[in-house]
Amino acid sequence: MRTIEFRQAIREAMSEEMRKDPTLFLLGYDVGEYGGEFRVSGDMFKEFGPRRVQDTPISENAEVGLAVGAAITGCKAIVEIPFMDFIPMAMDAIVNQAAKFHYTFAGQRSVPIVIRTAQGGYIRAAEQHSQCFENWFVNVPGLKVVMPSTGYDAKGLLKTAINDPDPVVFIEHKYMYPFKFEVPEEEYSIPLGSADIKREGSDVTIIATSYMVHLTLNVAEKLAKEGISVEVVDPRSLVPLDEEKILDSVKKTNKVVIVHEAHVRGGWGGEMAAVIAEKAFYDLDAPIVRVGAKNAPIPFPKVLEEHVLPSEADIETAIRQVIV
Amino acid sequence: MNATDPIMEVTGEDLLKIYENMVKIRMFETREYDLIQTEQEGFAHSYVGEEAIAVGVCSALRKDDYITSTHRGHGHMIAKGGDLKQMYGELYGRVDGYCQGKSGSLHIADFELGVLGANGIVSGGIPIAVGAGYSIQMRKTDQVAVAFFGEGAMNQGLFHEAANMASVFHLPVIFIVEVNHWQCGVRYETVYHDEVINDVSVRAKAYGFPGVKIDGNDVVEVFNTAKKAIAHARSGKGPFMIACYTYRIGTHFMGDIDIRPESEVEEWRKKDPINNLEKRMVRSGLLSGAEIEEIKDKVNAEVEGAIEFARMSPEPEPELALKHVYAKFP
Amino acid sequence: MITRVIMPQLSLTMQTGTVTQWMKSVGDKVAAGDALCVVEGDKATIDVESPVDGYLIKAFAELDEEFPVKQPLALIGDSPNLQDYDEEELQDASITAAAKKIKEPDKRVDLSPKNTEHSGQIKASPIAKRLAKEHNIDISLVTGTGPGGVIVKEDVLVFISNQSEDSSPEVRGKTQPLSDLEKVLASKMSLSNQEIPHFHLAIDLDVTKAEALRKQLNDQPELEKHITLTDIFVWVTSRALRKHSRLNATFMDGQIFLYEQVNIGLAVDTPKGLIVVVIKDADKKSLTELADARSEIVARAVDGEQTPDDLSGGTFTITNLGMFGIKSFSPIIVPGQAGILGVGSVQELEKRDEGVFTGIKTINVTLACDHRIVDGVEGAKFLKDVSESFSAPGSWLV
Repeated sequence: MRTIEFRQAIREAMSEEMRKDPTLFLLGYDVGEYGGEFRVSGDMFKEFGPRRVQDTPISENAEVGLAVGAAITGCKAIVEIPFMDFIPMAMDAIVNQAAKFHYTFAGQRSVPIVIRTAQGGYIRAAEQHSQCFENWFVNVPGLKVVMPSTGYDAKGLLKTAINDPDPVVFIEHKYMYPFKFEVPEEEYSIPLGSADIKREGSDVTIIATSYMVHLTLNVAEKLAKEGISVEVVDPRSLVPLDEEKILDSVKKTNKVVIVHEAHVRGGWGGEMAAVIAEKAFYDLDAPIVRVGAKNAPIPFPKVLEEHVLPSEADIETAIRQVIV
Repeated sequence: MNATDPIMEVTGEDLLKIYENMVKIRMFETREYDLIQTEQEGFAHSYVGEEAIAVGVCSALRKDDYITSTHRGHGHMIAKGGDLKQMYGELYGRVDGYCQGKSGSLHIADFELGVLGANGIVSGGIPIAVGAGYSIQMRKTDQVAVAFFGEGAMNQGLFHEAANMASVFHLPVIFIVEVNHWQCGVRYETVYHDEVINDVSVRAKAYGFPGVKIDGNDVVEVFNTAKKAIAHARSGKGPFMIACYTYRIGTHFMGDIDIRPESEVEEWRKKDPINNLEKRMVRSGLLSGAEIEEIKDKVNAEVEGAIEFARMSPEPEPELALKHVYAKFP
Repeated sequence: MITRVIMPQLSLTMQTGTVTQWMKSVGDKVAAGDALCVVEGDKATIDVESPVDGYLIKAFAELDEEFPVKQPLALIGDSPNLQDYDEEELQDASITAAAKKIKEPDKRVDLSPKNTEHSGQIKASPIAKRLAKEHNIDISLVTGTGPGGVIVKEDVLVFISNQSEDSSPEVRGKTQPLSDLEKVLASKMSLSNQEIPHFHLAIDLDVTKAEALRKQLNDQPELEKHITLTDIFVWVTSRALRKHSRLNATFMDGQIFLYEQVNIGLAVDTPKGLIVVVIKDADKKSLTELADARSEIVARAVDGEQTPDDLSGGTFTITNLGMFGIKSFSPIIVPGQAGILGVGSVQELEKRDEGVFTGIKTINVTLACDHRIVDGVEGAKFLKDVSESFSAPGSWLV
């Protein structure tokens, strides 16, 4: 099977869908001739032209608002907000408009938009360019939240998200864009609400998202040599969430560690831990442990950034705590 | 009769419809003022005094043209052809309302009429109208989109972003600024520079599209100007802004405290747009006293009938609260 | 405000220095420039001076011991009291950035449950508790090997496998969980065995006449019920208990509690297991009334439709294994009672009476008594009365 970069998988998903639907368009600053701040749109501009791969002014709030207006009048839209750190600029359009329309208008129209953004650090981009806010959107009914960890997942999930009638916040990881993954040539899609067991195991369940899946797999490989069998579950979408598969894994291993890059306090790990504590309490053999960034902004130099962001050592420590 | 009275540019038939619509809005809002303080819950924001703008603009639009509105959205909905029964139904929070009672006054919408929703965020609807404009362009139709908003909303960043994009993308979007002098409890002079305050349409220049200031209480002027703006947009010339100067006769929300001097409100009552039109139509022989009474009776019956209908409409089942969160799940 | 006094690197090759003399002690006021200590390096010896005014608040380097260069060997602060400093500030000052370079895995957060006021509570994980409950294990007997001695799943599983190992180490088999009924019975018998001091008295009853009369009664067509031997036993025993009230009692809180009613419990074998049904006021019922009551209550029990009332309030119990051919047996007293009568099978014997052999029927009955309430003489008298009653069967027609 061919291997392609994470960003190319995303580009292919958009291109394939835009070829099928002439009213689907991508907008955001730098997506056009420049090819995208992370080179995701690449040469889509050449294929689809300036109206369908639309460069915009730096106007995140209005970009998403425009996408909403277009989507409810017949043209599905993908908005690219390259750094998740800029998403607060667009919060009104996402939370008060996109998330609410289908509900408040009692189903008259839905809002089929995808807001694509890149989260995360590990690239010395510092405090205002390295953040992860997925949990904010998990907390807004009406939005769907997707976080792929591989090129294969990204392409399949994005195609589904584009065709989903509801607004989807699609969270990529900027550090992962050049990572290569096996992605089939043939067309395929992955449904939302379907978790993926990235590694089977029996001693402990790690629920990990996005880039953390890869750090966790490294740790699992290392611990396997000691005879510790780690199961890695990748939820892939946080809303809708595949509770069944996750809880089955918890029932199997009786131990859980949740790993995400967002800060621990108020992070998605708390939500996931509460779901497990409510629904699988009598299957737990140890407390649920969360791994995430420490509660400090992400600093610039490697030595400091590494100290704040989760590391393989942190994941290993957490696993060892629960399997005692 | 003044031969150059612009009222002659409008057909008698159109004028009658315009007059009736303005009366309809006035009666709807006047009755709503009582209802919201007795029988209904929540908040309503009165459009009394500004009827000429909604009616003037919407009368120049087609059914398939889009509008977005604000929290003060009853007038726009009625002017675009909204059904009073479903409107009162929504304000009462009943199942026969436009949104099955789920949204109340703030998010009233009828997509069949091209009303893309009233909006609880003052500038929230502006980029949505711009998006509708983008969609029009993509689909290559000759529809237009109109964003109604107040001069208060014009100060939110979102207006700037949306107006700029409409302009650089050359979209068929008409920006109607309803300068009603009051941004909730703040005089507009407090939030606009002297240089700009008497004609906020100069802001359009910053984005490179035409903007004009008109008397928002003269429905004929509004109508004629709107026709020009719409023609401009429909023919692919891009956005247009009309700053309609008017006055919010009521308070920010119905039942709110009023900090304005009575004399100020009185001044503007004298410039009532409905009276203005009535007088001119009578002068031009387009309307008689008897016809006025007839129209008022007809509208009154429609309004009262709609209220009765809404009162009789059932309350939604509690389970409706959990429906429509998503169009499809998972 | 804390200032570090660093161990100087006096030459490029110097890795450690040694303090050979301290001129100041911790707590001393110092001025900038005062000599604090003498340091010997690999090529030179110098006085290390205080860089600022203040108080010597910490001295890390020990006399005559090698101390790494570029590390703080002392701290000068503006207050002599250690409490005046922020904990974090002190810690930070005590080690240089370079030394903190190595990223160790984080200080392990202790997940073991702390000792709280609920010291009586067993600390076990949710799944450990659930497994223990499912396997009917008293979790307080399980040894915990989790953090802080928490009982975890593995511990319970080990306990379970050890249990089955203890009973038959080399023998294979499978565990059979007890039904609810069996659990109750096991618990009661255990309790009785532990708490009640049993003694047993046995006697052979001559039931020849009794059986003859019973047959006669049952042959009568007007009598629509069937009188069993059990019915007779209930009649006889209940009357005897009226007389020997200590056998119709229980030992409670160090005292003997004599029951007002005579409610005879009968052990019945049902498809679900052994149940004891209770015939209330047996001493006040006639033989035919007893037969009625017995047949109804036993039918209910066999069908699984016994009521709570059927099962409660027993004051004495009769258990009959005669139908299985059991000659005699020593029953266990039901907790809450003072005695139980175990009835064996009918034996056909020949008795020689003045040279004449006659066939007689006997039944061995064994009476178990609670020795706290009843002594051997009392028990024997009771049995004697029972025996005589069987020999004079006419009395039970009353």
